[in-house]
Amino acid sequence: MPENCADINGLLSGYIDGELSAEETALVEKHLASCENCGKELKRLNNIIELLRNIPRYQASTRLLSEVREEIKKRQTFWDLSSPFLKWGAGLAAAALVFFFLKSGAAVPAPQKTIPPSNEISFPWDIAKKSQAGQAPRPQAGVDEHGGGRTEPFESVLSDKAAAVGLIDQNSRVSQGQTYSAAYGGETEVLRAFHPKKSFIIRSVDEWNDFYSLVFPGKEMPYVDFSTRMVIGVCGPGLMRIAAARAAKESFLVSYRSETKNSDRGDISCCLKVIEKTDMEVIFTRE
Amino acid sequence: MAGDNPRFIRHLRAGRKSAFNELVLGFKDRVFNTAYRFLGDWQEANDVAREVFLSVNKNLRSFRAKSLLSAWVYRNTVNICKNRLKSRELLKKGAGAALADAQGAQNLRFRDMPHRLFEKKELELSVQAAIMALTEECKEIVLLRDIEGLSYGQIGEILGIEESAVKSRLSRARFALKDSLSGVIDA
Repeated sequence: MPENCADINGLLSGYIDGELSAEETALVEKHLASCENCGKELKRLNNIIELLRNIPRYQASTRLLSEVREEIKKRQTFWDLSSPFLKWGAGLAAAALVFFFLKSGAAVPAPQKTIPPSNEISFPWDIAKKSQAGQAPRPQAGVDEHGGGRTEPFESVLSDKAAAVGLIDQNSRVSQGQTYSAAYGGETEVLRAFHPKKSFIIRSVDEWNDFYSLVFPGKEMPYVDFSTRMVIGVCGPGLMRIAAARAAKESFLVSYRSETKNSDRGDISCCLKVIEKTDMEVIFTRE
Repeated sequence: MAGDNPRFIRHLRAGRKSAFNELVLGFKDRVFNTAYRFLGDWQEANDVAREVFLSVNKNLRSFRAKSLLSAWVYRNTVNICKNRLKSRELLKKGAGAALADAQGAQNLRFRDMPHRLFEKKELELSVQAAIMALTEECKEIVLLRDIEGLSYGQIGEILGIEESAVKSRLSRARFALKDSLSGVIDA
């Protein structure tokens, strides 16, 4: 085993980190007790480590995530369905096909679906009805003016229908502080990541797709026109309600509450609302 | 380490955007700081951070769930930094010269600072210059241990070396820093 100063110095770094064997540690300590120079070396090394540990830490650019996202989009291959090239190609092919049908006198099939008005969310009621059997009745939704299916009015509230489409697990009972984990099971981590503050704003189709595929995997996503609208939402224990959402002087105020008195026993629900697109800061307040 | 949760990794590999967003937000500052200290260049550190996450996104499917996600991200960071050092002009110019430029620019900007703040900045620049002067092998190990606070085991996984090698390289790196910063620590 080493006993001269050079060898002991070779062990000092590991000694500081507590990474030496018991035997090596004892050897270093014995040497340090009688060697002033090595004691000084140890002090200097400690000072260096202290300097490094206290060196300022900085934050990466706040635009990093959006830049990475943009770059990923750009790098998507030509054959990717979301590629603009393919979209254009598909559009041209469709136009050519329509032209061919018109020229040849063939009938062009009528569109099967009507796009709902942009200020409303339409829900996949067929799915909802199927899963709703045996559950508490929900308020009837209106029929949209285009006759293209049932839609919720502007004050769309998802929570009272959430159980029907699988958002709420009726069998789960959650305690405070575990609200998401019990109700969402396998999706806990992702949902927590998406709604760290339990209130959120969805401003784009991508985000809407993320949200919707998370809470209703595999189900038809309601149409929202994000060029003029955005979605605000709150999630929490009990039956969540957005009580009011209005533009104030410099911000957009949203107040919400849980309509279940004892939130300890309540299920998780999520309340969504479509509002006019705004650049104002949205402030969520619990009533 | 955060982000090594198996369920999170499953979501990430399944291509969930929200999981990837969480990964970027969780690691971006660590990646940035490692790159900044490695290269000594603010803009380039941001470029490296972007490149790291693009590389991670591209290779997510080939990521082996049994290894640590954090180690994988750090490994990407260190490798990209090394490649940049090799390819960019800084190598020709010499790290010291590039840093001197940076120091000059920063000193100009900081000359109106209160005295104590200025001293703090000056100290940081001295430490940064000493890090830049280390060999790559010493630099990566000292950044991961003393700045990022990783364990010997984690560093071994990131760099693909034994813990005993981590111990000896780290000792070399710290002594090299002690020598180049003797004026600062003995003052």
